[in-house]
Amino acid sequence: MFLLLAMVHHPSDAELVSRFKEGDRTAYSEIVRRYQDKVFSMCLRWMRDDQVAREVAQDVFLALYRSLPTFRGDAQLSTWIYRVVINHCKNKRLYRKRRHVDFHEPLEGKRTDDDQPARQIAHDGPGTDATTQQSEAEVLIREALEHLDEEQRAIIVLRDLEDLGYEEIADLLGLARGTVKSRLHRARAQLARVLSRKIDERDVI
Amino acid sequence: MSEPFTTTDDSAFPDERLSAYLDGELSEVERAQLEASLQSDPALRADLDALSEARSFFAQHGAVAAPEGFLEDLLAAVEEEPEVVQLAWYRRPFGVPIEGLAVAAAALLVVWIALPGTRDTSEPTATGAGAAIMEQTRQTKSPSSSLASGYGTDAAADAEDEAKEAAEEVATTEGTVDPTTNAWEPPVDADQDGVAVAEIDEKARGVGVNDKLAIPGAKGFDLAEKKAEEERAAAEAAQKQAEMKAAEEAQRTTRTGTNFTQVPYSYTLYTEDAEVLYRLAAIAAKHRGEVTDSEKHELEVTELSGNDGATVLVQLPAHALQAFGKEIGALGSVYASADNTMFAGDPVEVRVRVQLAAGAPSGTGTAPNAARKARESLDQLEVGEAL
Repeated sequence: MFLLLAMVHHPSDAELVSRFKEGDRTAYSEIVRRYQDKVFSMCLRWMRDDQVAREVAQDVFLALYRSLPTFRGDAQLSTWIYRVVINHCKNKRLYRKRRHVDFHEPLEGKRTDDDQPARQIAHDGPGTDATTQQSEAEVLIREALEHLDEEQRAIIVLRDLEDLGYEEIADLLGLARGTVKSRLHRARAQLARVLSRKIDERDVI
Repeated sequence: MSEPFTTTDDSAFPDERLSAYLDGELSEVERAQLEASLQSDPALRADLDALSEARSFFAQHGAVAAPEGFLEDLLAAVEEEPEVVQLAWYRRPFGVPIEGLAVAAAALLVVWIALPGTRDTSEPTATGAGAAIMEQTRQTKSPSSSLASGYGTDAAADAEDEAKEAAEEVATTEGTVDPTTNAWEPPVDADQDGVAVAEIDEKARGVGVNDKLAIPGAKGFDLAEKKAEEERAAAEAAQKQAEMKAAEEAQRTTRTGTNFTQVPYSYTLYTEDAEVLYRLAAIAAKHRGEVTDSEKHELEVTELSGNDGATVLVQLPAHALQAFGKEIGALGSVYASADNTMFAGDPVEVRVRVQLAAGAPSGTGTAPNAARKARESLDQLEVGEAL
C-alpha cells in the first residue's frame, strides 16, 4: 500500500512530460520542483554568482517550458536539462564577458592553461547575496572553486553533485572520456589542496 | 596535515587513477594494479584519502537549494510566455504520419513533372533563394496540384509576381549554375560583369572559401573544373530538394485556419566585423536562444580573423525567428538561404554561416534582399486567408 502511494505521488519524468503535453500545467510545476535545486546548484557552481545563477536557472526552465511540447523522450529529461544548463551557462559567460562584467577567467581558454587557476579580481565574497547567511562550508567551497577553471567546475559538478558517469559527462561536454578523467582528477586535486589548507587555517569541520 | 595538503605544486596527486578509482571508473586490471600499489605506498594511500575527503566534502556541501521564491517567480514568467502551441498535429495530420504524406506528395510531384504539357520546361532555371520561390510559384500556378490550389487568390498572385521578380534578380546571368541545393550553402549571385560569385561551404567541399570569391576577370581560376563537377552534382541535388520542398509545401497547404509563417532557417552572413560571433550570440541571447558551434555541443567563440569563417547553430523559440532574421541583417550582408525547412518544431534551429569579407561579394546587397522581401511576402501569407 505504501509502495502504491509512493508511486502515485512520484510520477516518472516521462509521465510528467506526458501530462504537460495533455495540458496539465501542474506537471510543469512538479518538474521544476524536482529539478530546481539541481539546476540552481549547477548554475551557481558554474557562474559563481547567486543572482546570475538564478537568472540562468530561470532561463533554463523557460526553455524547458517552450520545448516540452515537442520533447519526444528519446533522451532522458534529466540529460536534456543538463545539456540546456551547459549551453545556457556557456552563453551567459560569453554574454557577460562581452560586457566586461566577468573577468574571472578566459571564456574559451586553450587547454594549455588547464593547470592555471582562474584569474581573479577582488573576490565577491560571501556577501554577494546579502540575504543568504552562508555556512562555513559554503564559503570554503566557493573559495575552492575560484581555483578551478570553468571546465573543471562543470566536470566536478556533473560528477560529484549529479553523479553522472564519465561517459555521460564526456558526451555532454563534448570531450573525450580520458579528458574527463584527467581534468576531474586535477579538479579534485586542486580542491583537495585548497580545502585542506583552508580547513587547516580555520580549523573547521 | 600531510605534505601534499600544503603544497601548491602540481606534482601533488600525480596518479590520475586515484579519482577514477574512487568513482569506480577503472577497469578490473587497473583497479587490481592500483590496489596493489596502495598496499605498498603510504604516500599514494594518503593522496587517495585526501581526494576522497575532497570528493565527499563537495558532494555533501556543493549542492544548493534554489532560492526562495524561485518557483513562484518562474511561474509568473511563464504566464507571460506566448501560449505554447501543441505541435503534435504536425506529425499526424489527418491521422496520417507526416512521412507518409511527404512521400505521397513527392510521388504526385514526380507524376506532374513527368506528364508532358503540365509543366513549362522553358522556364529558366532559378538560382539560390529564387529557386525556392520559383518552385513555390510554380506550384501555386499549377492546376494539377490540387493541394496547392489554395494560393489562387489576389494576395497570392501579388506575392507570386513579387517573388518572380525577385527570382529573376537572383537568377544569375547566363551560364551561371547554382550549387545552392545543399541545405547549408548560400545562394549564388553574379556581379555586374557576370562573374559567378559562389561562397561554397569550406567543410563540405574541402576548399578555402576565399578561393571561391570571384574577382572580375578571374574566370579561369584553378578550381573551375572541380566547380563544374560540383555544379552537376548540385543540379541533381536541386531536383531532389525541389521534390522535398514540394512535399512540404503540399503538406503546408493542407493546414487551414492557421497563421503560419515560413522563414529561412539558414543564412550566410558577410561582414567585416571580426566580433560578429559575439554579436550573433547577443542577438540570440536577447531572444532567449542558444548558440552552439556546428557540432551542436560546444561554442568555441573567437573573433574571426583573416580568411576565417564560421558556422554556428542558433536555437531559437519559433516566434523569434523573424525578428532574428531582421536583426542579423544589421550585422552585414545577409543571404537568406533557400532552405526553408517547415514544421521544425519549437525551438527551431537556424544555421548561420559567417564569413569575413572586406566588403560583401558583389550583388549581396541588392538581389538577396529583394528576394528575401519577396519571400517574406509569400511566407507571411496566411494559409487560412488564402484558402
